[in-house]
Parts: sequence; C-alpha cells; structure tokens
Amino acid sequence: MNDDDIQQIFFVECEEALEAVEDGLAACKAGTQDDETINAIFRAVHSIKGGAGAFGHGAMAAYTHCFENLLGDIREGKVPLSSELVDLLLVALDLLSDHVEVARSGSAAPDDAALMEQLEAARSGTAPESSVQTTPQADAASSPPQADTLPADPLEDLDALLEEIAGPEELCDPAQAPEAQPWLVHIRPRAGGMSNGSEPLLWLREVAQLGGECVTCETRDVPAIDRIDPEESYLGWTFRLPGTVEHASVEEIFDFVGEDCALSFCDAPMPDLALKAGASDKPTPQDITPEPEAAPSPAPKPIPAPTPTPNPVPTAEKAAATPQASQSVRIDLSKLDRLIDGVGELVIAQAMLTQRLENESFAHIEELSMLDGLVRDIQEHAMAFRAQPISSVFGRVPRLLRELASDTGKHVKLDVHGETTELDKTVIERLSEPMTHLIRNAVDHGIEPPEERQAAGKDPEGTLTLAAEQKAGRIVIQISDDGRGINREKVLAKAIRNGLISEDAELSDDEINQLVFAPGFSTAAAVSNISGRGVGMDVVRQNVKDLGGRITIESAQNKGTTFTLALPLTLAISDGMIVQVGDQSLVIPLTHVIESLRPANADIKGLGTQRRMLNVRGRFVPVVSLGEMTGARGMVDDPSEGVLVLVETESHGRAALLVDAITDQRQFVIKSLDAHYRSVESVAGATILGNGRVALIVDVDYLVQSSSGADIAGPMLSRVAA
Amino acid sequence: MNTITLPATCDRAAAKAIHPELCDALGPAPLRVDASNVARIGQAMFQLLIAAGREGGGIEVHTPSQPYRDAAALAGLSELTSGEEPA
Repeated sequence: MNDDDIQQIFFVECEEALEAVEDGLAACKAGTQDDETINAIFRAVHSIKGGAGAFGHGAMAAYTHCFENLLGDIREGKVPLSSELVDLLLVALDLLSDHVEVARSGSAAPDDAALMEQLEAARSGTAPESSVQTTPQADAASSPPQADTLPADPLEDLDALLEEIAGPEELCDPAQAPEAQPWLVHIRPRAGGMSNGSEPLLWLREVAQLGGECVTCETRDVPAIDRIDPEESYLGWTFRLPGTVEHASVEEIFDFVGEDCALSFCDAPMPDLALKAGASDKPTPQDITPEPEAAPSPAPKPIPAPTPTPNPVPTAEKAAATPQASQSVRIDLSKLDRLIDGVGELVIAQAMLTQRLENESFAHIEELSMLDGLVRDIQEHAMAFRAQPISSVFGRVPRLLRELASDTGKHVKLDVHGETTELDKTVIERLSEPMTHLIRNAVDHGIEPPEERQAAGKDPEGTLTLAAEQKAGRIVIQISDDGRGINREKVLAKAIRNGLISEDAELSDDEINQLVFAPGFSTAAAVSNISGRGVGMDVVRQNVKDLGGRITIESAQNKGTTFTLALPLTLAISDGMIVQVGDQSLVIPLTHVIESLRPANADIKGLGTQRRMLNVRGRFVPVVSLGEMTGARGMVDDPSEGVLVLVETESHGRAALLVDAITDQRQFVIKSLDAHYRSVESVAGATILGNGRVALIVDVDYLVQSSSGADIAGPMLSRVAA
Repeated sequence: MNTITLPATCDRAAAKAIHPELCDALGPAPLRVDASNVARIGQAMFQLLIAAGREGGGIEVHTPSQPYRDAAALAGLSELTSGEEPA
C-alpha cells in the first residue's frame, strides 16, 4: 500500500466524518443533541485535521484547526450552542467539504479567511461582522479569552509567540506568568501504535505543531539488532511544550490512539534547559528528579514520576473517543467488481451445465438444484457487498438546499423517508447527478417565493420530500415538492414554439407533463444560475434510463410535483422469464411479470381495427405481440395458440405480451448492449443463455409504451436480434 | 564498505523487510546507509538504525534526504543523520 492508497482511505474517512458532522449538526439544529453529539462532531473534525496534517494539506489542516477550536469551546461549555451558532457551523461544514474536495482533486484551496475569522469571533463571543451573531452570553466572562488555548485575537496570538521566542528567562519569572511555564510530556508508543497505518512520528509532528520541541529521545530500550522485533515499539520521547498550550491540546492528539501510546505529563518548570543541552537518551523526567540543581529553577514543583503504564489521564470522554473494534473490512472496489464478474460467469456456467445435463436426461438430479441454490446464495451475498444505503445520496441534500436557499432566498424544509433503503453502489454513484438536478429544479421552478406561497395560503417555507423504498424488486425514489406544479399551458406553448409538437396536437395532462423530458425542451430561455445549466430534463431521463430505470412525473396545479424514479436493485444479475417468439429467444425481466396464462378465445376482444384486449378476470388489458414488435419470423399470432405474459409497467399500467411459449425461468447476467453494440430502444440488454446463444432482454416499459402509441420500434429490434 | 540503501517509504513493513539484510551487512567496518531516497520514515526504521549503530563498526548515514532529516530532527534523533550512533 503506497501513500496514494493511504490517502484514498483518508478521503473515504473524510466523507464518513463529514457525514457524521452533518448528522450531528442536524441533531443540533433540531434541538435533539446531547453531549455525545458535540463529542462526535468534534472527533470527526479532529480526525480530518489529523489526516490533513499528515498528508500535507496545510490549508485544510489550518482550517480544521480553527473549526475544531470552536467545537472544543462548545464542548467545554465555554460557548453556548445557539441556533445562530449551528448555522455558522453548517456553513463551516460546507467549507470543510470543499476543502476535502479540493485536496482530493488537487485544485486550489478555497478562500476560508473570512469564515475562519467568523469562527474565531464566535469563540471569543464577539459579534462577527457577518450576519452570524452569537448570543450575548457568549460575551460573558464564561469564556475569558485568556483561558483559551489559542487567543482569539491574532495580535494576542503573536504575543504568545513572542513570549515563547523571548526565551526561558522571561518564562521562568514567576511574578510575570507563573502558570505559563513550559511543561513536559512523555510519550511512549506501544507496538499497536505502529500498526494499521498509524505512525508515532505523525503524532510527534502534531505535538511539534503545537509548539512542542523534542527534549529527549529514549533509546535505551532498543535491543541488540539480532533481538529486535521491527514490529515492536522501543522508543519514547519527552517533549517540552510552551505554557500557553494546555495539556488537553496534547491529549486531543492522542484521543484516537487509545491504549497504543502511554502519555504522562510533568509540569516541571525548568529542567528542560539542562536536558536541551544534551543529546538524546538523556534523563527522562524520572531521572531529573534527583538532580534539580542541574537547572536552577525558581519554583521547583514536585515532579510526578511518569510511568510507561497507561496514563490515568484518560477520562470518560477519552474512553468514548476510543474507537470500538471495527467489525468491517475496507475492500478495494475493483476487487469487489471482479468478484461480481466472477459470479456472473458462474451463473452462466451453471446455466450451461444445466442445459448439458438436461440433454443427457439429468435435469432433475438433486445436485443440480443444490448447485442452483448455492449459486443464488453466493450471488445474493456478493450483491449485498455492493449494497449501500441511499442515505449517502440523501445526505448531500441538506447542503444543496442551504446553497439554494442562499441563492434563491427560498428556505426549504427537507422531509426524508426510507433513507436506509439499500441499492447497488454503482446505482448510488450515478444517481447523485440526476437527483441533484431534480432537486435544483424543484426549488428553483417548483417552489414559489415565500410571498407568493403566503398569498396562496401555503406555509411560506416550502417542503421537499425525498422518499425511497423497495418495491417489487425495484427501488422507487420519489422527489416531491409542494410548489406550484407544472404549468401545462406554458409547457404546451413552449413545446409548440420549440417545434416539439404540432400546434393542433391534442395531448392529455400526463402527455404534457412528459414533454419536459423531451430533448430540446429545456433551452436557454429560462436559464438561471441554479437550474437550466444546459443540462435538460432529457439528460436526467437518459441518466436514469442508463441505470435501467424509469422516471415518471406527476403534477397538480398549486399542489406540487412528484418525480418518481424506479431503479433496478442491481445492474448485474436479474431473474427473468425466457420466452420463445418465432425464431427468437427473448428474456422478460421477472420484475415486470405478474402471471402467465393461456387465454380462451372468448377472453380476447378486438378494439378498433388492429388492437386486441385481454379480459383478465373482468379487467381489460391490451395485448402486445412480442413477435410483431421484434420482427421475429414464424411467431404465433393467435393469442389462443400462444401464451400471454401479463406484465406491469411503470407508466402504462398492465399489458399482456403474446409469446409462443415460455421455455425457462432463471437468473440471467445482464450484458450491456451499449458496451458491445450500441443502445437500442426496446432492448434493455443482452444475456448469454445456457446453450451459448445470445438473447435480448426486452425493455417492457418501452414496448408497452410504444405499442400504445403505435410508434413501433420493431424493425430496429429485429436488426439487432438477427 | 558495505552499503545499504533505504527505500523511499521506510515504514514498519520496510523495516521488517530490511532487518535481515541489515543484520547480514553489519561488520567491523561502519555500514554505509544511503538515505537519499527516503521520502517517508517512521519509528520502526529509526529504532532499527539505532540498534544497528550499536553493533560492530556502527553505521554511517550518507546523503540523507530532507524528509529523512526532518523526521530525525522531529524525533530528536539528529545524530542519525551524521553517521554517528546516538549516545
């Protein structure tokens, strides 16, 4: 594992930490926080700071330091947590995300000077210049600046530095600053401190950044070279820190180290002078005690003998900070993908084996069904590795809304349901862009300005609802706003103007809604800097379609708009029904299939000249001939001679697909047609059957939709299938 | 004079890997340790060098890189940059 790999882990951890901060601040905003909430936020920011320092992201480290200082004060109760302060922290969080992002991409660090000033101002309780105000209590003596680890005023900071530089004479003067005398910390890492990517020298660097200076390095425990264990820790250090630094600041550095390092403090005022003159492996604080005269000390205090045993310093808070033994393993995504590919091939191989055994009349042997069950188990487990809760997408929405609020002045409440719903990582990753676009649209175009809402008798604050649930083998995500809804007259007029439809076209409300997805509908006419960035809704629809999903829209005037995204659980393997249509084998994804039946002649009714309807227990559904749609040769045309597969679609209800016969029902591995040929409407992909032949996976929604619109893509499909 | 070149990343794994080589290379004459490639060094490698410095002719660190110097200075082991064993 090289530095880059470790850095990648750091960025992943940053994301987790940012999420934790977001969650914590959301709790603060809702007023449901407790001490642990603040601790968790602090720890998250602290861990980012540690990594930022270790990987040389100076700007991020400086910024997180400032952020952390304020959090530290809040944690200690020096600064009361007001709602304004939470707002400031949210802004600070957004900038921290930016810092992480630029560190990852290697671009220039964001301008954080103004915000850092605000954070410092919030610490000292002085009203910052910006709109963010702290409560008057913050001004009270509860947080005297001199008690701070770092004084708020940069000039005071400078003073402290000058004091340090001025040297020991002044610092030793008890009359001047008796409490600001330098002190010692003894650091003795244990073997664990050198494993799992931790490195004691990185902790030392942080101590040095606090103004610490190495006084001694204890090397006497280092054994002879032939007896040394490179994984064991033998060194210990004594660092001298300026009196302006509190013990707590050093303890914080070791917060996460837990038992992997022993720390002990020694407030000895001056022996360091003598120590400093010597080289390493000079007396440790224990050794200093018997010879205090070596260093003239104005006020020698009894020096507690530090021991290498765990320091009693850890408090309940520190114990809480000790990470619990993790039950998870981080796996490189490419390794996981190889596993999934392997499972895909296994499914195909199993299908081939089954076919072969069937030919040899071994179709029903017990071992085969056992293998079938095992392959299915392995596949489900492998897919579960890639499953992630959708909260990773939903979690970014609060920030988006904050940005939109500052751009549009529309404050929007967020209502989230089903954020624990899991779906494939790839789907999650590719979902964020279309979701962002839909949310921007909802806030920019959907939700009215506060005045307009009030006039309409609505809550001046709009509400955006995000909901996710698993439904019939698909993930259904809904993005709803309670805004003005789609203005169909405007949409219609614009569509006619843009030449998308003819002027005399008669469209249903639903068809007009669908127009917003038409390519060329979202043009530059109504560009704001939020939505309308040239990424039209057609791109959103394409993105969703690329994921094997569907997007539908519902809108009611003055009540709001709901976009519904229906996505597959996984992109790799699915269950399907293999049907025969003339000379073609096709796959109908099982998620669409409700039932299959052999109709009696009386169940089929004609409609108009061409269309036929099937009576399913009193309900009529259109019959769609798959053979006709695909251009297959020699297929059955009379429904009573074939089989009807009743399917459910997202947008066009139910339909009965007419096929010659159902040959099998099994798992199939989805091979993208785009990658091997090109995208073809009406075909969702291809798969390899047990007999080694390629079969096309039917895009049921598209077929049913196009059959109802009489706009048949049959010839296209037949060209591919041939 | 034997020479051992330290790798760019001198972490615990590198210390473990170089340990046998270092044991073999030590002799009555000082062992030359080339630290010019070092980009990152940790405690494990330093303690190995300290132990090596106490054996036979000791070690001499040559052309230490800046990251090596910085790390040694931070850890109070500047002696390990001058070819001498720390006291």
